[in-house]
Amino acid sequence: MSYEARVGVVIIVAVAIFFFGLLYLREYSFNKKEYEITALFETVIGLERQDPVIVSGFKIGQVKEMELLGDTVHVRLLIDSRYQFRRDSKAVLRNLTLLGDKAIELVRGTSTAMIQPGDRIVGTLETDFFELAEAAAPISEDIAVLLKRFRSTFDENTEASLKGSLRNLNVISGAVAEGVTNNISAVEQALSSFKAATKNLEQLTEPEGKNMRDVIANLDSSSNSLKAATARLSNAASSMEKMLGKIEKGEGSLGKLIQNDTLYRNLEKFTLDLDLLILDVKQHPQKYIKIEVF
Amino acid sequence: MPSPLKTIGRGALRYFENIGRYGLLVAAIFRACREARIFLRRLPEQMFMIGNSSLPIVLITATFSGMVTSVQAAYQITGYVPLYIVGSAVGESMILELGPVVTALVLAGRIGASIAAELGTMRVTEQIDALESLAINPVAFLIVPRVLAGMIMVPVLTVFADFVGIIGGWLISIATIDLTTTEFFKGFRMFFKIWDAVYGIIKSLFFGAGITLIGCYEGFHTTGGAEGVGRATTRAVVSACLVILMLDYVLAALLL
Repeated sequence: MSYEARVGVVIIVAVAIFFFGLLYLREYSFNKKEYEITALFETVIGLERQDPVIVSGFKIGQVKEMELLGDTVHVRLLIDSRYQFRRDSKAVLRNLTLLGDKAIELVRGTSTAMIQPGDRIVGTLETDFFELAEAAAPISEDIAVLLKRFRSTFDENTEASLKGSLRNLNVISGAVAEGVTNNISAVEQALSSFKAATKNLEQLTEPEGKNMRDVIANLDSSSNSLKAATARLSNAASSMEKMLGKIEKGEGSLGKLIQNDTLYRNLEKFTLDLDLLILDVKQHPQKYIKIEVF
Repeated sequence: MPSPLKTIGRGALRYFENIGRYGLLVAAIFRACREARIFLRRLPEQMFMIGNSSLPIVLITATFSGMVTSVQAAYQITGYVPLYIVGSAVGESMILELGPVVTALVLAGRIGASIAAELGTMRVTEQIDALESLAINPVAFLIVPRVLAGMIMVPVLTVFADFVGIIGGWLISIATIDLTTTEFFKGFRMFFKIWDAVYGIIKSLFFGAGITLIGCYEGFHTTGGAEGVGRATTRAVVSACLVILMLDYVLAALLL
């Protein structure tokens, strides 16, 4: 084989590796059809050409080009033709990893019209990790203050006190356990006595079962009578309650007698007058008693 | 004993002299490009010597470079950095730096030395003078095919180096660290840009031109017999290595 042929083979292989390597790394497909749309962003910080366009985490395209026109960044996206989206879909610039890799996620809309090639959609920015960290800073400060207070409250004395309490609790629980262990035989004995007593009572009541039933029947009858008496008593109490209510209101003779003090005052006056009369009779009996002899 | 000032002055003069000679040689190369009839006949042989003959050593060094990069990247990745970044580290390192630079350094030792020794021997044995006496332009006959072959074949070798380096890194990643093929190439694609590959090829083109030009220059201006050939060969290798690293920085600053 001549020099030319050998060199030619090496060059062709190198060109093929380079060309197909690039196609493989760019995931290029010869029969893949794409369409282009433009997303308008206020800022595209960190976004670069060839960054992925994803939907629900699935890659469907890539960033083709970016251009600053006025205050808006026009980001041209190449989307796989197999995927169609509604006209009001949004493009969200979001972080793929903590390393700062970016991606554009298409958030599906609800309108009936579909995106056509060349259409423009609204782009928004996902809350950045560092913004979140910034927002969390005051919270972390609060937590730090809280921890500081916690630490100052639970100083060495408090800790020692807590440890002492726990130790005492431990001793108490040990003593309880020991007491139970020591008296377990007594408890067992009491239980066996109770069991025996129950058995005796059972044996005692068995022959007298009929009498017991009679007693129970009598008791039942008595309870019925008691029930009727209770009902009557209840009625009497009700009547009494009504009567007392009337008395309290000053209705009826008894009510007036209790509530109105006129009678009392009259009686008092009468008593006073009577006392005066008796006194007067004692002092001047001749006024009232006249004795005539013949 | 010469005074230090005199030594510095002579060194500076030699430096400017060399720069001037390089400029003149480059101008002669451009002039000789018109004589395509002469250098095109010699080009395939030089391409074979520079490209095909150097392929085994380039493949071996590049494979190990990729494997080492994979191991070291995995070693350094800790904490929250995902492991698939190893794919990116291997891919980008090979394409941007290791592929072109390691290949160029290997070729500086192999090709630069070979060219300087060959042309130096021709110079000290007056074969170059004989060509001139036969009205054959020695630049078109000896230098242009070598420089052109270097500019063509070093990028070709760099493509092979990138390829086998990435394959080596991938094999080590799936064999020694807990990384799948999908994860490796996911990481690779994450930061890959077509320009990176193009940049690597452009860089290797400059490296090819630099290695061959320095080898040709040192050989073409050899004096002092066999000893002079040895000195020229050493100077060619050392200068080529330095120029490769300087060009690496300059091109990175200009193109990235």
